[in-house]
Amino acid sequence: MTNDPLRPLGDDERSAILARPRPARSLPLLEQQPKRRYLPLAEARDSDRQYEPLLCVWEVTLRCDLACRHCGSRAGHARPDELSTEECVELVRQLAGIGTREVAIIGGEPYLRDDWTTIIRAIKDHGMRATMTTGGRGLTPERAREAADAGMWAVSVSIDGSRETHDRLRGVKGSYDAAFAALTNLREAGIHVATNTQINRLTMPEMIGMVEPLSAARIRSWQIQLTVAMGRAVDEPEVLLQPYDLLALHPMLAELVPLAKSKGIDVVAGNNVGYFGPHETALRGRTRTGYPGGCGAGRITIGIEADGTIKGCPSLTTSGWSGGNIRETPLKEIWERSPKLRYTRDRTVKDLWGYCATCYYADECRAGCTWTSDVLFGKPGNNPFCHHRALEMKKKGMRERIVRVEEAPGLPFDQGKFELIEEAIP
Amino acid sequence: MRLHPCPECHRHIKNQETACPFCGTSVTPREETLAPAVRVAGRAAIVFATAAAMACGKKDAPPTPAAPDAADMTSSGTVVAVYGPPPQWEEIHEAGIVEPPKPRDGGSG
Repeated sequence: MTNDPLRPLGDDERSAILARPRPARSLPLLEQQPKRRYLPLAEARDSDRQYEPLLCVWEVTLRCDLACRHCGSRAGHARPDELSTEECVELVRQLAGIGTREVAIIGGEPYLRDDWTTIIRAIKDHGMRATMTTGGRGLTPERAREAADAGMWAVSVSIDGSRETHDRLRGVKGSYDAAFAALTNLREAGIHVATNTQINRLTMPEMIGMVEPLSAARIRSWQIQLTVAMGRAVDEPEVLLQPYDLLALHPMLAELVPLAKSKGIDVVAGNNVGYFGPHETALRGRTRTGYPGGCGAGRITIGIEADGTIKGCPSLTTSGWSGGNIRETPLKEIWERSPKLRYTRDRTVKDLWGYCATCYYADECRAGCTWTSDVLFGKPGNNPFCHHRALEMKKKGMRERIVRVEEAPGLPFDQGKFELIEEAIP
Repeated sequence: MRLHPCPECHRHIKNQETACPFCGTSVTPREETLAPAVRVAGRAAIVFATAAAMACGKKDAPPTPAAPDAADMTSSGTVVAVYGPPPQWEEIHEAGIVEPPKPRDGGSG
């Protein structure tokens, strides 16, 4: 611990973390797809028909050429039973049918599927926007041109901090340079580019320093989000922010946003970047209300796993939030009738617990990102990664800290168990 | 909108407040308002189509208080997701590059 709250890791501790070999158990362990069971579909309701999954985020394969040490899905090898080309094209048709406007393909790395351009072309041909989020390591000029020819609209390349930090987080030396090369390749192919960054204890002190290289790469849009305790991120919990780190993070972001803007970069705060502090307008002033509106899973977003499993958000755990599988049930039925996808449509303040149940903003925020809190405590509704909450704690001389008490089992989208410690500020 | 920033401390406060609960500044209560209209003229059709979907739901469906929340979108109509698809539609349209997506033509599946 240092005296600089933006650098919660001391130099020695940081060096030790950077140098540490990856935990053996965080290598891809998936050999066989676990048998899935889903809750029965509920009766159709008129109210559910008002929701359209405007944005679909679709893991088209779990095969990956990076080995990110925070990867929630523990990507590496393909799942044993990923959707075929024909199944993917049919799924695209069904997505268009339920109102999806944009399909963001993710992985693993989508370009490691031989038919990835077929999927892109199908998305475009069905009148939806094809986008992708990628680490970019294998996005060669040829692949970028193939994607552009197929109709890829825009691509967000993940860049996490400095070269040293990025390569360590992404698990492959050279991946930082590869990501910037991918941006060049995409731009030269005529695809719009953006970037996204994980915020954790390794990257937080480096974010201001990222503005120059991103500006030099002519980035115009930069999405930021907190690293969440899922998958491999559970294996190295000391890299995760602590809830009280938001007391330093948000003032820094309030400085970062105008600095980036001065270089032509719009910073877009992801749904889990804390809530309702004095810098809310700086962070989310461009949203239509100017403040966070709670979780969109199952309301405006839908997530798909490579085997056809459907969730309200791609990040939610497979075990807890799968609503059905496209191989067994039409997408429209899952979207409208799965209790798991209806969760945020029906959630009220009564579903909140802990601090969030009594919060001034409970009715608007409803504990923010479902994923962030669910993976910590095994149920959503109490999210300690909140700036307002950290400020209120600080007023009382207190802070909150998370402690891992149970490791994750080692499956894609798995979770461990954390305890929340409330303690006096040292 | 049901919240607005306190003019003094910039914390969001409920529209009915007469004083900021965080800094004590006196404020005038406001009525709840809809999210500001998206600027349609000169913008991409996707902006209009998306905003309309967010504001109204489907044509024949009854209104519901639990309609998708406009705060999940930027003023340019872009959905903000964890995985970060790039929100550049407004800028891209202004450059005259974009063709709007086709309107959807009924359910399927």
